[in-house]
Amino acid sequence: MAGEIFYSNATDLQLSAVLHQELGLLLADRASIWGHPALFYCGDLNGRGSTTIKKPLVGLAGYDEMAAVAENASASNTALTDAGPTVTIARQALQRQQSDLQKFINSVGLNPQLLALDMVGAAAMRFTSMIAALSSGFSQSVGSTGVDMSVDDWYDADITMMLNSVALGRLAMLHPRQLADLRTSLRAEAGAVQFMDATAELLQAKGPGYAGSFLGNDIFNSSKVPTANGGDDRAGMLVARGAIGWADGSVGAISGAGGVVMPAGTKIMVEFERDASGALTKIVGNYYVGVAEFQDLMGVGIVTDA
Amino acid sequence: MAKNFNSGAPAAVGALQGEAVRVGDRPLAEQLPNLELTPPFLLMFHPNRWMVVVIGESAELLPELGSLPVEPGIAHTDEQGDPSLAIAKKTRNNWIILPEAWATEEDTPDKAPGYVRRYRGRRGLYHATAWTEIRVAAGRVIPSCNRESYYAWLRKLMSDRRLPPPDPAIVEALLDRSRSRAERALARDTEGNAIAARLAREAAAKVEALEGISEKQGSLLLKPLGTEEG
Repeated sequence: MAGEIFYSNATDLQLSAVLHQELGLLLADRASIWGHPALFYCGDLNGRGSTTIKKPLVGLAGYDEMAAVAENASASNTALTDAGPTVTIARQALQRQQSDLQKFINSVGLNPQLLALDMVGAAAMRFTSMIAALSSGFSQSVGSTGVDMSVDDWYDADITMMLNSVALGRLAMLHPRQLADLRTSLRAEAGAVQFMDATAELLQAKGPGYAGSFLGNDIFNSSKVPTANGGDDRAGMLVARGAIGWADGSVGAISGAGGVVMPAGTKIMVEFERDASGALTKIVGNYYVGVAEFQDLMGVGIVTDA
Repeated sequence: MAKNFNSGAPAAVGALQGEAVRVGDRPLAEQLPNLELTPPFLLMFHPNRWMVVVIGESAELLPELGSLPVEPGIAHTDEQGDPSLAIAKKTRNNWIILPEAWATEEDTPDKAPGYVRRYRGRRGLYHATAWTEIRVAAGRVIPSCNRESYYAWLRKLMSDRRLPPPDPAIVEALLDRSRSRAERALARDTEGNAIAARLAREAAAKVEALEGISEKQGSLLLKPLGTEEG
């Protein structure tokens, strides 16, 4: 028989595909280390007179100890040791541009407001990358090139910190490869040591990158951990509070600025710039932030196979 | 078979039947690799950082170089991208910053001067060393190192006296750490525990390598008070 109406021949009556109404996210590492207590926040440089802030460090509260002095002898002065690490902020930005045509025909909510909200995630991951980039700047390192990370590397890092009298409550930033190798090696362990996995409550409190804790140190998992030794290895780190400092700057109100959005709880400034002639809307996010190593001996690099 | 309305591209169902799959309308080769956005950098050396390199039966200590990111906002590089302050701070902390001129055409696998190379990735520029080889396999990016060339360059830096040899005190500290590690590994090496056995072997090999390395150079000794120099 002829003249059947098939799906394959009624091409003017249907679409090749329709869009699901919910916009999904592509797979990416969105684990941010923003606001972790192990990273020392120096403050906001708005109105401070410089792009650089200095953290005064002084050798007090037990840095120097008393010495025995004879009954009738005079004590002499002990010099005060001080230091002043600094951190300099700089502009970090992301820009997108959307045409009016795309904006009004889209049915999944891809609009300038959504692109403005995206700036928060972009700034958070930029911050995480900047922190991770400091990992190969510590003068002490543990691990072996070309050799998978193991519990022994963890112990070496922990002992190195202990030998420097660094208090507990540290943060390890490891690449997923390093963390995977560490977990593999943990299977060979026996005894009282325990790897505490991240629970839902801890993930809520510490952020999505939190992977657990081991021997009193938090572990943060990030693909932003850089390579080392020509790409053969990954350079993670174990740091205590005081090893790394950061600062940022809030832009405040700008006269003459177009539509401005300042996502709540952040210092990010998102502006909309209109190009009427081209029927385009530019969405620009700006964030002023800086990170730096403060005290070298409060951190140790963990360099193991990639 | 489902109707495909994309011109020129076979349907996903076709893949189940053995046809080649394309991603959208673009062939895989035209897609940018999934590389991270990384900053340009300067390589730097610290007398405390060494790596044991075992090649066959021989072992040597080579510098484990760090990297100083050169990008505004990171480690004292200012808003204009000037790393002068960053370099000064590192130098004061006993780091030696390696100028790019120390890597000549003879030292790099691609016979180009300098040690920083840039690649275009999906998120922007990826900066790597001249000895980094980047392979893309099944959409996955796999960096690795041309070790022969990289280690040769490091040896040359030491033989040219641009970088100092390891201090015996540092070697001793590394050896001490490796011995502790080997003892821990041996204690875990029970029968049937393959992971522990592997760790024990690696630790023992590193101890053996370090014990075999002996570079007799004088350390800087402090003179006590009352002596000429004290």
